[in-house]
Amino acid sequence: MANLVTGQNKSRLTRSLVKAAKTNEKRLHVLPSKGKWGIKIEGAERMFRVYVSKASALKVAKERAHSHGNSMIIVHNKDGRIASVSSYK
Amino acid sequence: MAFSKNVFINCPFDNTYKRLLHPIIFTIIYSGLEPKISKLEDSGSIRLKQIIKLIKESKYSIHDLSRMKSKKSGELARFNMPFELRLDLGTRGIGTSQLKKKKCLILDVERYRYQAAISDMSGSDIASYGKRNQVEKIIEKIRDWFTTVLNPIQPASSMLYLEYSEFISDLQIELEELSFNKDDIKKLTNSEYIHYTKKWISNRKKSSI
Repeated sequence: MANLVTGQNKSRLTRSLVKAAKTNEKRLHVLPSKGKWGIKIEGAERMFRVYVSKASALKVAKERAHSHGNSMIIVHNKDGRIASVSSYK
Repeated sequence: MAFSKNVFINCPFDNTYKRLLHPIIFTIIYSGLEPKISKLEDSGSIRLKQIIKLIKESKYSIHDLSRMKSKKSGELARFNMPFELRLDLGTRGIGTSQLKKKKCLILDVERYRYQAAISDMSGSDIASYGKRNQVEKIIEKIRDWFTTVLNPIQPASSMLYLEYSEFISDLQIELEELSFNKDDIKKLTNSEYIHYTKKWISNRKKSSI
């Protein structure tokens, strides 16, 4: 298989990831947690809140994004990858 | 990297399994160890030599036997993983004093299923990651194993899972910035994925000091 990210792109992606490794507390993550759904503020070591349903977690995350000026909600699917990203200004 | 830091990973290498391979690699690197994976592109005989070399170079190994049972009638089960597990255990039994210190973790979706198919595995650590919440569970099982064979002080598995989630979203977002599809993450080679994981974790740890 040919490499997906080679040469210049590889260097760019590496630089971007190094920067992204610093936490951005303006981002909220909604993700599965032990059969439930949690909200995580980026950089925190624990879930901010945990809910039975994904819909409930997402609703509270949106409310918090509006009230606390969070810039992005990242919703993960069950394998951890991103299902959707919503930006807020 | 030194023998005592290397972890040989014996698992399926298809795109479906990458959802579990990626958190395995992340947990190994986060714990300060070096993942060792055979290259798929090599031919059969070269690959076997390479696998034996990696086994001999690695104190730790993780074997996922979840594919040894076929899923539907007429489908053949995969025996690569049990075969490589046998090679690993054989190396431990007949090798030098260093190789006798090798430790291995056997993973499966069901805890005792492998015993029906393969006997003589006593002395190996076994862990099941079940059929639900597999990403969280596989991180937890590997982290727990490291507390017994490596160092009893390890980050909480819940914290590792949250760190992994942040990493995987950073990687997807940055790939999209380069005009790749977020699903293209599955097309990264293992060595590329290991490279980006190492960069992210080392800078993450630096920024949290």
